[in-house]
Amino acid sequence: MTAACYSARRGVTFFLLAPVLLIVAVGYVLPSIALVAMSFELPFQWPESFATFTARNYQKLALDPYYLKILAYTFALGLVVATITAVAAFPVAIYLARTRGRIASLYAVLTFTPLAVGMNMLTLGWMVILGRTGFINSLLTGVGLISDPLQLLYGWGSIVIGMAHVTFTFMVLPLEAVIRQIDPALEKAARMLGAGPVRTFLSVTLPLSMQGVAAGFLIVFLQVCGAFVLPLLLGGQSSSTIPISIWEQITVSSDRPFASVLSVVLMAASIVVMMIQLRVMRGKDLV
Amino acid sequence: MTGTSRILRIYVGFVGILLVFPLLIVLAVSFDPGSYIAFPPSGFSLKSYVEMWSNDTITLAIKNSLIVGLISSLLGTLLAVPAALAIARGGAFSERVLYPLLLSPFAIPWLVYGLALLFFWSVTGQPLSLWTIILGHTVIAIPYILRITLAVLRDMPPNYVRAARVAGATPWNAFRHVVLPYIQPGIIAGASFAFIVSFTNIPVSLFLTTADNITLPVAIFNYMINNFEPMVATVSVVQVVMIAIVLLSTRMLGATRG
Repeated sequence: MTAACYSARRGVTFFLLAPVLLIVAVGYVLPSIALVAMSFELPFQWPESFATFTARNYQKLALDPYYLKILAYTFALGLVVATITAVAAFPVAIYLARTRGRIASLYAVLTFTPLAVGMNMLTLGWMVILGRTGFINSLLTGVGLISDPLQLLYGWGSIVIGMAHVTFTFMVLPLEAVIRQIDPALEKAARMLGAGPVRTFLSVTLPLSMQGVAAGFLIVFLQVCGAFVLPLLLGGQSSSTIPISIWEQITVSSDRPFASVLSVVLMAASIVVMMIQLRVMRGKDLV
Repeated sequence: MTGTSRILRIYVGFVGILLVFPLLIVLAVSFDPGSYIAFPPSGFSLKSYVEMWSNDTITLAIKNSLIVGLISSLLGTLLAVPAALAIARGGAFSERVLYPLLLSPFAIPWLVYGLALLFFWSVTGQPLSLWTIILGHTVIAIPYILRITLAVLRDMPPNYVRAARVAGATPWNAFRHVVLPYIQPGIIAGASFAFIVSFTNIPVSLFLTTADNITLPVAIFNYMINNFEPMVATVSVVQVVMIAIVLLSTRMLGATRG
């Protein structure tokens, strides 16, 4: 079934897995436990620590409309951005899956740039484009369309634009992978039977790409809900997401337990989405 | 038919422009000799390209980020490739527990993971150093390398290994001369991607950085929050150039060996 069946010995498997499991246990599982412990205000000195166990920070989250609103906004942001990127990336994925040649492979490199240049680069670019003394405002005042600069930066709109850019690659890749697997003869058949391009897309191409849409949607949703740098810098004061609140709890209020509660909630949501995603993909590697 | 594909081409071209436009804007701003970022730039000069090298924080951060990126991508490769070999053998444990566990650092928000590491190090009493950051970056490198290597492994026809074994190769030799050359491009791609992830990562490092172990993207982030001057753009451009150099050199490495 798999290529690596060159030895059936169990000892080999142990040696292959022992290093990674050790690092993951020390560098990942234990820190996650420390985070959950902090959310219950356990200072980690067993057995005394259990005396200080409290769920009051979870209570604070559940009863505070301000933070519940932030939770809702964060997940809504994820849904909106994932929908926009799915629609925007679909034609690009069709192009990449169906076109060969130098231009198409150069374009494929282009779609990778958001992942390769770093969040600071992308955030800075959009700040300069949308800012008060930025590209759009200079252009519009230069042409004479407006006399006072528009307030484009700081708000949900600029976060949505920036995150759609950042996550674009994560949507294109799975879409391109599924569209590649569709037999072009099916679309040709639909066209020959009299369906127009729109009908062909809606009743042949799109239904056959749903696995890629779902995979891309879930990854983008995850990335948006967990994003920190871009929403912080493009969102300004009025638009807060869970990661921004976590950062504020640490740097401004020094409330480590409450920052941990927000983190645990976000982590749990992310794990659930990831498990759904693994199920959707059923062993296929679309990304 | 041609009409549709022309509309498609125009749209795709438009998206392509949107994808690179912010980067070109940053490039333009990076040559601004002024003291704060605006568009159009107040002029063209290499001033901040020269000045950034006498900024101690920036040069230290570049050095730290190169160290962290190289070591964590190397460690990640040494951990994730064997794990991919084990998982490729199949089995319920690999499929249900191991694979999701090793993949989850990709799904968990990096800021949350950075916070978890901060608490972990303060519980253990370990002072923050480059190694505390390297450990975090190694963990988040694992999913990328694991995924690519596993995809290549699953793509490999099983008969290759069978043929080597029938011809008398030991398991080790079959791995060394058949499997390894086959998966090498995947490993190189995964490792270079892990380097990029580390070299551009802000959220995992943010809570773990001090004046001594500050990384380049965190230094840039601090500048973006505190003083919004053209040097922020300059350093970001230099960061991208460094990434391009690493990508091109690993690509050449892969081309000559593979």
